[in-house]
Amino acid sequence: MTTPSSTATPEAPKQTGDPLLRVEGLRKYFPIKRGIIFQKKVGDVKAVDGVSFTVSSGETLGLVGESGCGKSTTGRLLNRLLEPTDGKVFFDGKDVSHISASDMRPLRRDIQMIFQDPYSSLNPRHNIGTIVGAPFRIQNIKTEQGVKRSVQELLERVGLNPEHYNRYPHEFSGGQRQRIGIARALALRPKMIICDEPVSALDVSIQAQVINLLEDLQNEFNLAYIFIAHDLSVVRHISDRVAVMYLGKIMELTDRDRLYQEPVNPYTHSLLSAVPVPDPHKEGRRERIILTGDLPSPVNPPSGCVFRTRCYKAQQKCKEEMPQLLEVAPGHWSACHFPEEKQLI
Amino acid sequence: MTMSAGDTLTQDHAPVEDVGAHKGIEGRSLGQIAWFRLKHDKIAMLSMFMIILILLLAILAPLITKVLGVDPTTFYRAAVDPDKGFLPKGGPLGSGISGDHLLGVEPGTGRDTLARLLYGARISLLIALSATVVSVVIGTILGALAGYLGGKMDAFISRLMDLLLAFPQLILLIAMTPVFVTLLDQLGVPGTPGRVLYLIVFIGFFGWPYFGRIIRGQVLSLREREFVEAARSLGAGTGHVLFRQLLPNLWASILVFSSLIIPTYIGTEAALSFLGVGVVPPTPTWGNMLGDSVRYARVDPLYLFIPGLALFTVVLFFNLFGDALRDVLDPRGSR
Repeated sequence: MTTPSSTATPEAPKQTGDPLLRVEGLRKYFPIKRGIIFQKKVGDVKAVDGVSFTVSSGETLGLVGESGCGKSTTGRLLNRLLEPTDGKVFFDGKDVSHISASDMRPLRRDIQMIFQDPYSSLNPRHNIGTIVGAPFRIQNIKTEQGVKRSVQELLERVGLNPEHYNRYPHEFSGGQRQRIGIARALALRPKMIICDEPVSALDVSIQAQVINLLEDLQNEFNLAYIFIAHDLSVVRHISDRVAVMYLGKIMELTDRDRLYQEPVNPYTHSLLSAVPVPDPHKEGRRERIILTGDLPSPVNPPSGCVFRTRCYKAQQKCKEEMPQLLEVAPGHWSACHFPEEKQLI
Repeated sequence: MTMSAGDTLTQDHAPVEDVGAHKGIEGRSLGQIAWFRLKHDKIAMLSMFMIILILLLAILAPLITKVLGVDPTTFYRAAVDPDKGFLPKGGPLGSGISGDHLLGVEPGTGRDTLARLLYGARISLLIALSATVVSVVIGTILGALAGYLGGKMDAFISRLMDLLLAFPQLILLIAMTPVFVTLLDQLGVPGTPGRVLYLIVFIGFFGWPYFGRIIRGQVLSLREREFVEAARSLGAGTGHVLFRQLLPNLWASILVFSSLIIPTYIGTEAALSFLGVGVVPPTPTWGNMLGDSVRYARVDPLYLFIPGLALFTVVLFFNLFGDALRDVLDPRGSR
């Protein structure tokens, strides 16, 4: 149970040109321990179990899936807030999967993160100047015009009043706080930003503003985004390619349009069929796939295909053999023994 | 508060050219807001005034006694009656209160009660405040380390705290006092300063686990907040996270619990001196005054009452102030 089987590592989907980020067979198992003094490992939570993908510079990869499927853990493995159990993460050609904190420090300028909860991602006791200036101080970077001027430029760039430099987070609304978080992530001019559900805590009207800001910044600074979300329409709007995750594995990975129009994986089918369609005639006619049962525990995932316990197409083969993430069409990867094209939206 | 909140809300929908229209609005830190709220709390202001007054009286004790022409160690033989077993002469309830001795004199020796009370406050407050500093420093550092690092470090520090809390410290203190006082004497710290130092270290050291647990609990919840992850994703080390990110969030708890620990320690010092293991006469403390006065409780009740009232007042106002501070600094409080 503790040794990951080698067959589970799918080959990383290849792409033309050198990708900015390449992830190969990434795994994160959290040990479950029992006992007070003599702790014994009794099992693992397989949060991320053999994930492979690439991201090119300037590209947005959407990461979708239901709660607990390992999206956020994947994000934290990429910028080494967590250390992977197995697998490799190459950033700019450099293997960062096990490097030390001090070796990781300079690389953190290139990989930044935007957090989900704008109320807990800003230190309530620091003013905006301190928060947005923290990247310069922590990385010990001197800017030409001084930290204060740089921070004010950043604030202006994300649509905040630079005069608010001395204000505290509690004086801002949720959308403004998220802009502060974006300014902080932008401070060191990173190449890639991991956005961990950056808009799911915001009102819908504010979501659009923040998404548009992220898109503008991407065009201006050629940023790559890993966009983690569970809102399929938000992901569709911003992503170039989308990876669908289920129980720590990638089920389907392809271009945005292909994924939404011609998905082949039954899990993607069921996810998309859950998205409400505004047209009542279409809504009435379309087929809905309703999943039965609960999400299996990542401590003890099903044998073979992890989705088989809830899949409407499950057969004996799914129980015995784990499907590999295979290229069903150019640039379209899916992990299923019985792929089928289906139009759902 | 309400004005700036409404103002910032509209900002999100404001067109771009509106940026910069709100010049001159100064941000108020949480500390400034707390001070503003504290100023409008009558009990907090009264207790703060009383605490400052008591501290001033203690600090200025030599000056006050000089003005009054009394001294804490002089035996005023004229104020006691040798025919009645050296009880104070005159005054209500046989206290010897007179124009010369405003709070009477000590039975038996004739030392001035007011002078001893003022000088006693110096020792009592010095021990309580210093021991609080010792507890707070050790408790904050170890509690924060246990909470943030977790794992083996947490297990070790937490068991150490359990051990110290379960320790029969009073018995140990009574047993060890002669040993340590002699030891300190040999090291060149004589009598009274040695005993004061010993009490500070002892009370402070056995008090930190209480504080450490509170800090550990706070850090356990704070470290899960995303701003800690944000700092780490910028490359911040443990030191930065603990002192720059977490410590500013702990100040409120540190202040509140310090102000609640101080009166406990004043009481502890008084109890120890009362039992005779603390500071001993002729150096006055409230504890040894109380201990001494018990013998005269029937013939000179005011001599028991006066240091008792002083102790009660200080403990009460420190507690009231601590409670008010908690209300002001804790946004989830009842207010």
